[in-house]
Amino acid sequence: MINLLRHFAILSPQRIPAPLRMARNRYLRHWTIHRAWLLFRRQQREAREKTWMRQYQSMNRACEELRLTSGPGTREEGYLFRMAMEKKGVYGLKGVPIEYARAQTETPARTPWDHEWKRD
Amino acid sequence: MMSAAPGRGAAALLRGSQRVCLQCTRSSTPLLLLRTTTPTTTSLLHPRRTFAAEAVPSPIPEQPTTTSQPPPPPSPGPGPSPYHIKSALILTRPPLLTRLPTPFESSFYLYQKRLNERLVAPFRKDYYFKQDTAHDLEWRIKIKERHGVPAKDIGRYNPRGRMAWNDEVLVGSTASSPSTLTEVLLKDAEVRVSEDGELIAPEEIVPVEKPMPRRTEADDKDDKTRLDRKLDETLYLVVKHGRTGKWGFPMEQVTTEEALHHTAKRALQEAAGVNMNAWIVGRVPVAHRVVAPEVEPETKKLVRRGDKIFYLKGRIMAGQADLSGNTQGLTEFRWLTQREMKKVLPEEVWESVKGMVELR
Repeated sequence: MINLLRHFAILSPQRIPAPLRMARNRYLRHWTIHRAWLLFRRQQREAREKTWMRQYQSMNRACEELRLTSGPGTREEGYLFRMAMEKKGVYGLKGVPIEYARAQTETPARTPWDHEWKRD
Repeated sequence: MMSAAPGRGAAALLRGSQRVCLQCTRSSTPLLLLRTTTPTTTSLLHPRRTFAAEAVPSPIPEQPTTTSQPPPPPSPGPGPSPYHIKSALILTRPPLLTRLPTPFESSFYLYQKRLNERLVAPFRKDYYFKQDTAHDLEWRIKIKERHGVPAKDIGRYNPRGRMAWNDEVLVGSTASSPSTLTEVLLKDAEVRVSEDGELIAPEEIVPVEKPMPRRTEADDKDDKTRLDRKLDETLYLVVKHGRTGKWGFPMEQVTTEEALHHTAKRALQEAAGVNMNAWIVGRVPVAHRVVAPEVEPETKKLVRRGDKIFYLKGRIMAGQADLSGNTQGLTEFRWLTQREMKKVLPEEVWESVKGMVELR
């Protein structure tokens, strides 16, 4: 059982620290660190977006080539493109395997990879 | 100058495709012009460029034998198609680990943690530990060792004392490095007081099990056939063709009954066996490569058919490749990161697939 009086005593303004106060040089250092952090975030974000654009362009060019391709065999032009654009079975419960939902961690599992996996 | 390029593009489009899609045939001329100013035109001019921005179109360079350009003479009439259509699978293992934080990131986090400690309300011990229980005794021992500071991961610093202003870490300090933090947290997690409330002797303290190292045995041995190497990067499956001695991806020719993803699945099974929990991401090709057909210059007769290779992307979630009994004449396989893959692959293959590689 929490003692309510003590609870509010701890959260009283006298126990909460005052806002930070920094001298000029210290504040300049703080500001520099802050700007460096923003720059770092920006570089990360731009590298990520660049990758996405590059991948999109690659897919786009491949699809354009596919659209202008006739075949295989006697199939008419654009047959493979239409097959590739089909969304059958993409949405729904079986659309994405559940193993795909594994999150990245900081350190690996005891057995990092199951090499002995067999298809039954 | 700009008027020449769309005209050429439109001509190529009409020549390459006798049957334009329904939308294009229905639409009037402006739409057709709009279509031709899209990246198709620029990719015609610069087959190897991965971006499409260009202010002034430059003259068409001399055609190499291998190019992504749709070549001029695909005769849609009777006769064999000048191309083999092939589907290849780029099987990738996603990174299992997060990126290691840069030194700047770790020190920034420590800095922010210390600033936060200067601003928060005091820790309420009574809320978490009942008076005079074993946990309370243990807390008292540990907080004394931390010089009265509840936070475990901010190094030797007291945010409430007289030196609270001195929250900056000096150059060369290891207080913010991930390995130091792991050590400190593991040490703190050790049980110091028994359930009866008695102090455990230092030699009887059970050390907490450490997390596995990020660098595995396969990394130390540099075994490139293992999947538990380079855990924080994407790995790509490349196979070596015994006949040509070149590295590439599992590939097969598309039959009339198949779509690209069927062929890619078959190619993987024929190359590397079925004992892989693999999944093909979508049905859309992520990269392509066109090898131009050989044509006799005078008679325009087809000497050798070219290749149109479409690469699909796959993900592996368990299992291992096994080349025994493959029907494609493969001798070796490797799981490589993108940098290693760049060194191993033939240049023209790398140029065509480099657009799909991941950031790390």
